[in-house]
Amino acid sequence: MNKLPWRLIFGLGLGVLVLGIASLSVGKVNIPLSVWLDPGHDPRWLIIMELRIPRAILGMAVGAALGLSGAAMQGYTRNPLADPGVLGVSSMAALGAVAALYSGIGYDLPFMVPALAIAGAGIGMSVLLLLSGASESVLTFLLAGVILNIMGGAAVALALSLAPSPWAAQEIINWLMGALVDRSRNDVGLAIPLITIGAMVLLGLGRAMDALTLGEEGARGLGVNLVRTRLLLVLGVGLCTGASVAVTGVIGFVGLVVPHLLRPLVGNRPGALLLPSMVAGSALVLAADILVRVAPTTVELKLGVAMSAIGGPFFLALLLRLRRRMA
Amino acid sequence: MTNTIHAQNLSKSLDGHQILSDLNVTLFPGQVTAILGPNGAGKSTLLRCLGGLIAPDQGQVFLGDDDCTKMDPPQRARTIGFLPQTPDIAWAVDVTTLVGLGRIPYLGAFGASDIDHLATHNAIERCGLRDMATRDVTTLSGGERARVLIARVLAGQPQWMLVDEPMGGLDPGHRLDVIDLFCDFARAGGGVIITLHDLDSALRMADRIIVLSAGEIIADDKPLGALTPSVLSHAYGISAQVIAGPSGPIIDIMGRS
Repeated sequence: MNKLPWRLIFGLGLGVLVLGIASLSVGKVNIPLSVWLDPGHDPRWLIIMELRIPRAILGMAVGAALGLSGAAMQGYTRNPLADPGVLGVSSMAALGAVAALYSGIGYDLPFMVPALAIAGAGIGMSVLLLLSGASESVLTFLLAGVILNIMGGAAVALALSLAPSPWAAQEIINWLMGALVDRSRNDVGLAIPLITIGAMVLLGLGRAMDALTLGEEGARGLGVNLVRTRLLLVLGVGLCTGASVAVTGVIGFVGLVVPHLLRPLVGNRPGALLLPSMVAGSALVLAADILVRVAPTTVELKLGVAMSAIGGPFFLALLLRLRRRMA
Repeated sequence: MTNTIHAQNLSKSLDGHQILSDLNVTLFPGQVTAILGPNGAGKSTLLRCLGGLIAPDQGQVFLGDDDCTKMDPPQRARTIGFLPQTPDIAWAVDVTTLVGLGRIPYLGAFGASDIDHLATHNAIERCGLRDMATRDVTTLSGGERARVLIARVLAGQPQWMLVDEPMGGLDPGHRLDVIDLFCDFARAGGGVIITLHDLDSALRMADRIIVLSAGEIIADDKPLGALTPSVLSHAYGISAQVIAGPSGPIIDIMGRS
């Protein structure tokens, strides 16, 4: 009844482990097994320590954060189309990060980049929830998300066109496209604690999400404090999405696709979906990041772009299926 | 020992409209109390206040000696089971999972215990849902779904059931099933407060009828005493009377008054 699907979670965790190891072994430079067996003596060991391990860890963390954020947003809004990317929360986070860079405070105080990204994501979430509270209509909610997405994107584009230097412009483009390239251990140290706190906050909401299956009134009747739930949701999604975007830029569709695929496997229970979505999000981002590296292109594909290229058609198919069910 | 629910000088306005004004009422366990009244009379708002779901602007609601709005929400939820009007079920969970949601106010850090499973199982049996325990709730008919939602409330083993307009969309047979479940609950010592539009259902199940009109109580009595022609005319603008049918009182509506 209220058990978590541990076998599914364990299986997905195994997948993350395998993909994590695979992620360490792909890249521009081929690193033979001998380097792995004799750590520290080959210069290529530096590639592993300074580039590939941070990249794999970040991929895992960001995937987990986005998968969990998507599952939590869907659980709270009772809407399978909710996702930080689709509904503009990621765009708002990107806007926060870009604002920090553009204004220059991001260079003097590096922590301002994630701080403003988290603030941006939190503001995006708050606007969405305010609108979803004011009206029960799913349409209003989705439209509000689309508008947030456009506004966030437009503001970033504005910053881009006014960028003081080509270097700054390039940096801003990275936020728009999303990539795991050249991330350092600093980025890991920055993102992991924030994502961990955010994830713990969101994982604690499982019971409230289950109760919300009966609607807001039903949940309140079951003793769920909806004001508190909403605040924790804004905090958790803000931390997870904000910290993710601050280090990797906008990577869409993870939060949309992952909960949707897993939902039938957990008997559609929103609370049971949180932890599996987190683990499967890790697996998906790791897998996609491996694919962009092994793809035979001269310039490496941007992860966010690749994800949108896969996610876009999936999103359309999801909409079509939902429409058929409602008709 | 089941406590009474007592509302004292209850006032509530929503969006600047006065919904309830200075209501005083005491509700007793062991009875089915029906709250009737025209659309917009404040039935649902009164029910939500009595259940502690929303706080009144003025006045208090007491459960026994405790102020309902100041109670710990899970503790309140264990005592008062609340069934909202036509809740759409958001996800396609199975019947057992949905009924099990009624145990949420009891769950500790480690999730459901054997007691929770047993309570869920008993509620499923009591509402005659054993054969559909594994079915997806979104595929059930309206009558089946109504019973599943009542089972969800029963799984929480409350002392009170507060039910907002449960008869919508139910055929006469399923109405009888639902009425029986509420009456059984009250006969067993629990308290039922139910808002209704259907006067015949109210006559069939209620031990006491409260009629609301424009946020005020205009009648509060046993069914035959409450539904007088003048009250029916005042509340609904209809010319009607309760007459003795072959198997109990029924409502005879002549037209608009």
